[in-house]
Amino acid sequence: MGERELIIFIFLINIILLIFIVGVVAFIFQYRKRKIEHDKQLIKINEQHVKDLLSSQIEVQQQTMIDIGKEIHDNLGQKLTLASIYLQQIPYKKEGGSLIHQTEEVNGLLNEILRDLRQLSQTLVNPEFYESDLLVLLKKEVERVNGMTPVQIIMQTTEASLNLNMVQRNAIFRIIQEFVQNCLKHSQCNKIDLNITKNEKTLRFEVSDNGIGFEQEKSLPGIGLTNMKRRAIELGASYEMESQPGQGTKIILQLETD
Amino acid sequence: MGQLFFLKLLNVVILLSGVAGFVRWKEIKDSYWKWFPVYLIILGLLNLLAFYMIDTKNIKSNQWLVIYLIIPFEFLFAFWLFLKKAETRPQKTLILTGMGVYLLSFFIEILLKEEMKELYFLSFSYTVGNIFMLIFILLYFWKLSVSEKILFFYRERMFWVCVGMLFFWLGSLPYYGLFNYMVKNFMNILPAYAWLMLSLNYLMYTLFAVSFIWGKEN
Repeated sequence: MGERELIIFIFLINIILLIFIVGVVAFIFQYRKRKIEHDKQLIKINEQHVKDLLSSQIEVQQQTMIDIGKEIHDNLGQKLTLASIYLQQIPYKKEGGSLIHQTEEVNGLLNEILRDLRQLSQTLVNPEFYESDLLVLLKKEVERVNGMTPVQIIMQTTEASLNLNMVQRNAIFRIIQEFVQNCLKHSQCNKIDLNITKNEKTLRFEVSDNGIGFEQEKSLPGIGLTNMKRRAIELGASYEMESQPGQGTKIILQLETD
Repeated sequence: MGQLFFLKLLNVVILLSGVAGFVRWKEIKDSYWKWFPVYLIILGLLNLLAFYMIDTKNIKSNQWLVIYLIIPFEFLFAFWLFLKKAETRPQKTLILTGMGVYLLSFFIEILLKEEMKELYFLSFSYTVGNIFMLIFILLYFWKLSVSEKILFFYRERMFWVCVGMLFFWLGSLPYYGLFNYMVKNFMNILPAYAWLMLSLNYLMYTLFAVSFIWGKEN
């Protein structure tokens, strides 16, 4: 190797070294630039996530207000109107059995109103109601009834959770709650069966008691029964009620799941 | 402990880096990376054979093995790795061209070489191959720096391999490129430079092991 080749070689190595030094600096610069961009993007995504959360919270709150409004208008309002009508009729009634019966009716209605109000306030102060799965809520209700009344509810399901939205969960819970309350008040039953089954397309709730039952054709539907049907229709679920004297009462509620 | 001891110990490091690859065999068995630990084990064994030849005073065979087999094997495997990593056709063409030019320079040098003395190296083909290697390393880093992968560069197996190769090939370019010249004119700096080369070798194979441990295929 001559002197000239040696100089060229050393020159070449210097150039290569220089290129790599520039390369390392450029790599670090590029990394920092990308990292800053990436961090900014992450902050943006987080902000968007917080916004989405807030908006869904507001949505839930609005839906809650709508539900409470409906509850007051359709249930409490009607019961109060009925109680008011009964009270207005009392001065024109003659003394005796009819008056006592009328007073008992008003008293019953007022008790129902108080109970409904308690439930309503419970859902307001208990955010768990809006966050829990329907199965959790139903289990609590079953425990409550089993612990406080002589009636035993037997709940059976193979599902671990039902993953329903807030409106569906609220409506189905209220329907079942209403049915149970009716059983406790009127059916003289000592057992209620609650079966929940799910397949690919439908979610099925079957609730039945072993009470005295009633003749569906002859009996006028009360507010409770009307409310159950209305809630099911609003939900887009199919609703069936079966009852015969001496053979208990059963409701079947089927909701399509996508 | 002399340089020869650390040179022999280097073979253990090469074999260990190959073992690190086999530890991660499940992750790499379905990709071209599976050949990397195989290459390291073969290289380690070839080096052991080369040292056995030194121990048995078979210097000519050792020279033959290192110059005609081990060095081209290292170059060609590294080029193949870059070829596998290349995503575009121009990149592949460039790598294949580099491979071709290196092989051509290697055969030309064999034809035109002087008589091999005890300390001799094929510096020309080594320089050609080394420059191509540095170009491919530079291209890899450039491609990495403009992609999203730069954010998680430490998870890139090829990144660690390239860092190791960069240190070694860049450091070895003056050493092997000027080897014959230094033997003739600057024999006194050769042992000192050899220590540096040894350190760079250790660094490279350690980073190869790191590439198996930290690197993720996806």
